[in-house]
Order: sequence, then C-alpha cells, then structure tokens
Amino acid sequence: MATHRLSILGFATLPDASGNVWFEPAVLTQTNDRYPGLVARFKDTGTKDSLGIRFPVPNNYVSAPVIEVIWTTTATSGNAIWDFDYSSAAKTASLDPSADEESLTVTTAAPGSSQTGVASQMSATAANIAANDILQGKLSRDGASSDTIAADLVVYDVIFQYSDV
Amino acid sequence: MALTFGGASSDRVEITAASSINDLNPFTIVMWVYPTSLVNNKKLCQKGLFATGGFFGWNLNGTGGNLETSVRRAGASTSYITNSTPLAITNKWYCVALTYNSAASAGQVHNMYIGDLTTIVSEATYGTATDGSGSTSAQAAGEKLYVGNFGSANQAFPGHIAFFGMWNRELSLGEVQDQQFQPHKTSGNVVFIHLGFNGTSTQPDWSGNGNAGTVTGASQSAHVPLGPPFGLSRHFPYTVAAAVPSLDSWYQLTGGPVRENHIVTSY
Repeated sequence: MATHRLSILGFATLPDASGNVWFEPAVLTQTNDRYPGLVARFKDTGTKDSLGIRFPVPNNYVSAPVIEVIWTTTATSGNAIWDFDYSSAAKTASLDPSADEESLTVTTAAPGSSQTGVASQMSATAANIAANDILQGKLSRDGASSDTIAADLVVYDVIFQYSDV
Repeated sequence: MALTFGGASSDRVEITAASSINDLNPFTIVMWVYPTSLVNNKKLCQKGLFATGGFFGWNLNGTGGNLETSVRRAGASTSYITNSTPLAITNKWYCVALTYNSAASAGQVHNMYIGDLTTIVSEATYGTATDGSGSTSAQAAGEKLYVGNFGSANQAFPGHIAFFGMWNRELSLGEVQDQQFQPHKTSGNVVFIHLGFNGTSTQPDWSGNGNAGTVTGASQSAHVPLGPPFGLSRHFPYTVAAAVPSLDSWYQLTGGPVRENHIVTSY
C-alpha cells in the first residue's frame, strides 16, 4: 500500500476570465528572491475566482482521493475558503459535462506568520473517480462565501493525493 | 487563442483609461503578432491621438516590414523608424517589443526588439532615431489604449495578435527575452492579455490591474504556438512512451512529481 501525491498543475491550467487569478514569479512577493518559480495568485475579491485544471487519473489509483492546495499569504488572520468543483469520467466518455460531479470545500485559517505555507485538504468521494479517468475541475477561492482573509492568496502547488489499495 | 484584426478597418480591442496605464514614462510593450499583409500606418497599438494631446503609437511603416513609433513630448516628439525590415515576411509569428524612456541616453529613448518562434529577440536597427525633447505630454482625459488599432479606429492591424503585455518600466533586452517564449507577469506589469482565450468577449487582464479589453470586430483565431499559456510544464518532455513501471520510478527518473501533459500509458 502506498499513498501517492502528484502535482496537477499542467498544460491545461487556465485562469478564469475574471482577471482576478494569474501566474507570476514567486519572487514578486518573496523577500529573499531565491527561487524564481511561478505561483498562482488569487486576488482578494468578493467573488468566486477560479483556476481551471485537468489531469489524467493515474493507472494505480484505487481510493482515498484528496485535493490539497498548498498556499500562503501575507495576512496572519482570517479564513480562506477553497472550493474544488470537478467531474471525473472515462477518457472515452463525454468530456463536456453539464454539471459538476461533486463540489468540495474547505475553510482554513491564515498562517500564523507571513509567507508560511498552509495545506488545505479536500477529500473527494472515491467512487466518483476511477483509474485512467480524465478529471476536470476548477480550484476556486470563494470570496462570495465566508473568505475573511484581507489579502491575496498565493498558491504554490495543487496536489492530487490517493491510495493504490 | 488569438484575435484576427483587419477584416474591417475598425477592428480593435479597447482598454479603458486608468491610472495604471495613463501617461507612462517609461514603459514597455511586448506583443506576439502575425501580419498577413504589410500596409503602411496600420497599428499595433496606440494610446492618445496625435490631434488631441499626448500620445504614443506603434505601427507598420511602409510595406516592407518596418516599424515606427512616436511619443509626443513638450519640445519635440520622438520618432524611431526601423530600417532592418523586422517584419518582412508575412504569415509568420513575431515577438515584438517597444520601450520608451525619456531619461535614456541619446539614441536609446526607444528600443524595438524583434524575434520569432525560432529566433531570440534582438534589437532592430533604425533609419530614423529622433529622441525629441521636453517632458512627456499628458494624454487627453479618458484616452483609451487600443490594441490592433488607434482612437480613430480606421487603421486595424492586418493579421493576428496573440499576446499584449505592458509594463510601467523599461524592460532590458534580457527581460524581453525572458518574456518571449513564456510571457508572464513580472514587476511593473500593468496589462497582461492573451487575446482570444475568452473568445471575443471581455479580454481579461491577468496582470491584476483590471485593464481588461473590449473587442470590436476582431475574430478568434489560433494562438501562437508557444506551449501552455498558463501551465507550469515547459521544461519537461512532452511524451513518455510506455513502460515506466511505477510512479515512484518516474519520480526517480525526473526528480519530481509528474506535472504536465505527458501522454502516459502506464505509471
């Protein structure tokens, strides 16, 4: 038995049309400027702003699916609301679903100090997902809900975690 | 995606005037463009009108593929015109960049950089390089920034435009090269639009400044083939042929998690 984790940000990753989500070098907000990799910034708004994601479910997927958002912010108080709305289907099924198969949400407090990482996990229904599926979804910061962090959220990675038994 | 201009001379994308884009000095513009014909005075972009105060404009000059730019200054306007015909070949993608900095040394007030899908950007040469004098003139209130046209809306760029980015500082040649094959938001970025990704509806500004564009006339077309516009996967191979026995083994091979559009037949 093993738990596997893989990043699901890939070629299909696309910010929505709100203009409130974008990619930028991490050094724009870091002070030590050591690692120039890209991060995704979610602006502090009163709307639900999203990042489109698509990835193939690994061949050895069996159970315990979790979407994990690794993020940080300059704020040290308030709560972030992350949503993950998705549909997972066989690669030969419809790739144009008319509704979300499941909508996940998690509320996570801001880190105690600025620029410290936070991991927000959302567990999905295992039976919704099968090995070799194409999983399509939207990761959203839900400013229309009870998101109370008065600062942008910066996402360093989005992880799909699962078990092979 | 991209947008195709020039079907009508009024085709354009308008960005409403805003403090983040008004009267910039210095500034830099980076674009990916695909001219389908070369017609004198057709516009890549412009803000402000020659007749009504301050402005900057960037357009085709002549029919041989040269570029021209001008910024109104209080004493005399700038005028730089290339003589190296950087856009000489039609039906081809070019990365073009324009800088303006009134405080730069003589002959460096503007720089125009040109590259393509297989050539790193480098500076053009100029037949005219008039630096002008005086302070940069203020644009009239409410003057919009036009992509693919200008305020009179009768000089649409003949071809496709895939990307438009603007910075409120002068990017170095190295920084322009850094943007060429993977445009991304960096310090001072005030407009960041991949045209056509939202169809012909509002063109989102992914700079975070809300400088979205409104489309008139232009139609959606294929994007410049740069790879993923937003994804994080540019530095990995694109195809993994089979027979990778396990995900862990794949991690050992690559040194990290799988994060791209591999065609993976087995983990």
